[in-house]
Amino acid sequence: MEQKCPYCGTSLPQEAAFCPHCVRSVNKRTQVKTLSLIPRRRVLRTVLPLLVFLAFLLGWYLSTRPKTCDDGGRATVAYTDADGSYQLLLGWMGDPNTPAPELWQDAEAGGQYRFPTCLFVHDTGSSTAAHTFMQRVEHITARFDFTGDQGEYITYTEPAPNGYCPEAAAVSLVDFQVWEDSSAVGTWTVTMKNGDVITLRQTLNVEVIQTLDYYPEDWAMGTTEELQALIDEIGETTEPSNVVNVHLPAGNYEGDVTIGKRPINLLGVTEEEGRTVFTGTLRITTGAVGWINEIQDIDFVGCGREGVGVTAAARVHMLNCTFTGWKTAVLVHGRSWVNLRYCEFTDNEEGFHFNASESNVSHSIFDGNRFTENGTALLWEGIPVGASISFPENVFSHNGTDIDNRSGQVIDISEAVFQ
Amino acid sequence: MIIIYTWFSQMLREEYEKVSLLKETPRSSIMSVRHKATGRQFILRRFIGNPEVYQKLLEISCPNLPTVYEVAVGEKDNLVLEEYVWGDTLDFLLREALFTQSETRRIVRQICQGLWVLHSLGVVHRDLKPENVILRGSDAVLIDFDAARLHKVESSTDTQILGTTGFAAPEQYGLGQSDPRTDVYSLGIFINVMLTGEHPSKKQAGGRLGRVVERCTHVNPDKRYQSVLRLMEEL
Repeated sequence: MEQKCPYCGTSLPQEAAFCPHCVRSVNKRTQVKTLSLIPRRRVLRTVLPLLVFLAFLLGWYLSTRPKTCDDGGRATVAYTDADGSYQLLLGWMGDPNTPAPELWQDAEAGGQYRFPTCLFVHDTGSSTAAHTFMQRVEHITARFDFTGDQGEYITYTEPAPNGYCPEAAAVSLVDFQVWEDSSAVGTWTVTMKNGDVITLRQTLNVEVIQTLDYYPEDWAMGTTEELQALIDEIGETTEPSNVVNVHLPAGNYEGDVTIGKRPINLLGVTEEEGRTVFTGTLRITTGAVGWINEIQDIDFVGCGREGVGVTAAARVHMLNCTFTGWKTAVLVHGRSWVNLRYCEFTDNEEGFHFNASESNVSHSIFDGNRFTENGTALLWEGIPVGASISFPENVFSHNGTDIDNRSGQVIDISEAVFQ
Repeated sequence: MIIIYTWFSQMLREEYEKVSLLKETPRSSIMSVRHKATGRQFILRRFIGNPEVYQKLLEISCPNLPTVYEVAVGEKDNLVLEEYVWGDTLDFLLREALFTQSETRRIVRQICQGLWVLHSLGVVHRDLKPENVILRGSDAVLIDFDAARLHKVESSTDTQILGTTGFAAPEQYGLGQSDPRTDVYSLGIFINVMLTGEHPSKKQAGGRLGRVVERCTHVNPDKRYQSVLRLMEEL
């Protein structure tokens, strides 16, 4: 297949985008308009009347549609067209016959969350109603009536069939981030090819759970013994639904520390007065369920490549930590998962040693880490997980062995640097 | 695709002449070439790897990105013919003098425009630095997409998220929103270098733009501007 250049008549392959003879483009291009950001108040002043007018027009337009069906906020509605009668409902996977007009979610203030919600379609005589119904659908949209402050949002992704729940006609993922208890009404609009419009609604209620912060100014935590006593007391006195942050001071903790009764976030110093240093082993044994233990901004300093820096049989995320001089810097075992981001491993016999099974992966991207002069930087044993584990922007430098992948875990090192 | 590669290689041999070799590595070369009949100059890239980013750019035209005219995919390597952007790189200009706050704002806003187009196409530039920005008259043009890649949300990742509500953030799973923030980080460094000539770890810019730099370069991507549009608003 060939085409002729519309400007000079030269024969060009069908796929050609450019005529190299007369140096002109022969393909269609989208001209990107320059974005001009106008102050919001001005936008409101100028656009609001237009929006009001457009809304009026839209209202008039919808009122002239052949038929509209509204669920009245019950998350279920009956719809009849020339070919049959259907029941549409919004609900949860595994429970396709129960409408879910109210959704309840617990969330940490400022945390980002995502969960799926499903549109089910039933008719009186068929179990494949979703498929036949969807053939008559022009498009489906979903939107929340939520306007939050300080980056708050509650949104739907575009509804579409999803392998997560094959029996649903469409699935949408609800994304949200709020700072206080919030509520929003979500509207699904199903537009049929014959012009009919069906609307279903569900209300999302988000209850913000309590975050407890423990600061060194208020609680004794200057020595290892005091810190262990505080961790034990927190384990006895806080509700499991609370998120607990322990803000550690700068200084050395000598001897071992154990987090065993409930997940706790240990947050080291990020200001200029110094770093928080652990020279003993940090044991985390809170198991495979519950909140993730967030360990941030702590230096784990061993001696003579002996001992273990962190041993975890728990869900742990480590950020901006350093590990130096251990036999094993981080050991993962039991039913657990540990993720590393922006951490540094230097002069350890083993850097990160994964030897866990039945892991519930909470984070598959290990980005920004640096492994320097370790005997073995990464040792992967145990049972491999289904997800591919990636190491973007990691640097492996002068290690005896960079990666010893004994379990055959799928690992993506395409963006790692080996020096 | 091989047909167009063979044809395009032949046309380049017959109707174009090499002007200069600009850069060469074992996997790629960049040279300027001239169309003999018209004297027009172009950039010709030859590289081994995925040409998808350049194929996406074939379909668009933006004043802050070079126009990609042709992409020819071969068995062993790929050819890309693109606009020769006349002007000086910011790196070159920075050797002479630093930029004022208002110049920095204007230039960075234009770079944001280019990045916004790339991000809309699912492309992350990943190599934003003064060497890769050319001032063409009053337009800042972002060049060199060798390090760029398409950011795709894999279905397996989606499956993994579902059912873990209440425990972890979408960003932690590497969804699409997180990667453009890599470019936001680089923009922060870039702004600081334009104002001070130094990396922020050595000398941080002061004033309001200094705070913009701080937010762009936060170690936690969640605390950076969540898109280049938000950064443009701030500027």
